[in-house]
Amino acid sequence: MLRFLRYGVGLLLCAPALLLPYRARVVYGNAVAWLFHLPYIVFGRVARTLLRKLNLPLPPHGS
Amino acid sequence: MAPDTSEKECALLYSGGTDSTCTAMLLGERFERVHLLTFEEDATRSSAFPDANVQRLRDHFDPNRFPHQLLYIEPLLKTLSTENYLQNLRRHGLFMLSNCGFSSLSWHVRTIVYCLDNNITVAADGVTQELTHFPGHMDVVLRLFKSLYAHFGIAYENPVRDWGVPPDPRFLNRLIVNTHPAPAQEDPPLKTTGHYLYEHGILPHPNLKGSDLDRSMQHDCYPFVLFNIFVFWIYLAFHSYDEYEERMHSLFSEKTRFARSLLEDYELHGLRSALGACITQ
Repeated sequence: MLRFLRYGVGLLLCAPALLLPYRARVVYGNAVAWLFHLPYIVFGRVARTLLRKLNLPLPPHGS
Repeated sequence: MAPDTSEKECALLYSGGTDSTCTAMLLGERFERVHLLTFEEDATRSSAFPDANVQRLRDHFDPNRFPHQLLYIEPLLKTLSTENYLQNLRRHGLFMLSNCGFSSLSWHVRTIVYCLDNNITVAADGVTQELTHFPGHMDVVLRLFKSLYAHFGIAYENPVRDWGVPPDPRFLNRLIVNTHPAPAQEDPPLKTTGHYLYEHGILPHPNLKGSDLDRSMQHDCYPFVLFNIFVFWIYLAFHSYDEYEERMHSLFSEKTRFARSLLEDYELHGLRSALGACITQ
């Protein structure tokens, strides 16, 4: 079931890219990448803020 | 005519990350000069300029051993991505979303131009066994790239291809890149590019991949979320990896043939050729 769901969502995301002019395709690809990364970026920022407020050290090298 | 620099100088496709920096170290032992080539596209313009590790390399060897160039390749990438687009779309369908592969091909074409212009006969990159679903990391496509280089008298090497790869710490890659065949290796791998750089005092930790420091020292490659969705959510959900490899090989055989014709024209007409116009924009 999950396989078919992912297939459908994947098609909805990928098919428009094929039909866009080149420059719009680049912008679209960047936008999708940014959206997918957004939850992890937000999670990282919240984690850092909490660590700072609790006076706990950040992990080495920001990993 | 450019002076004969063969066997004394080489070119390295250089992102500034762990793998390409390790490759630069290995080449620095063999060659008097290692030309580090970093490529910029519109999609990666906001990413870091990898000068921190270049400085570390220069400090470790000598200041003149690693000349570093940032080469803008967007017009070339656009040419390789869009040539004969509708016909290619009909033949290859969603495989035309392989922008990260077209990006790799444009780096190699630009490297060949650089080698021809500077009479360099050895080129290398830091490709490992990581993310082997990327066209530019697949054996069948690497063989096409090797023959493209060989056609112009250049040996193309992958010195760290068989080194161990640390587990990918990036959550997003775990989410999308779920199943693809990776070569068996010891856990954790002992000989990695990160270990090598750590042992030689270049990096502060043997595995920085995915960390803030890694992102700050490495120029990004082409955004590949959309490509990963196509590969793992659409194609590999209903096809085997062998079929995937065969389709990718077919697409890149055609693209490499086109790239070869561009380069042959460049050899004849230099900057007046179509490729010459791409690289001077």
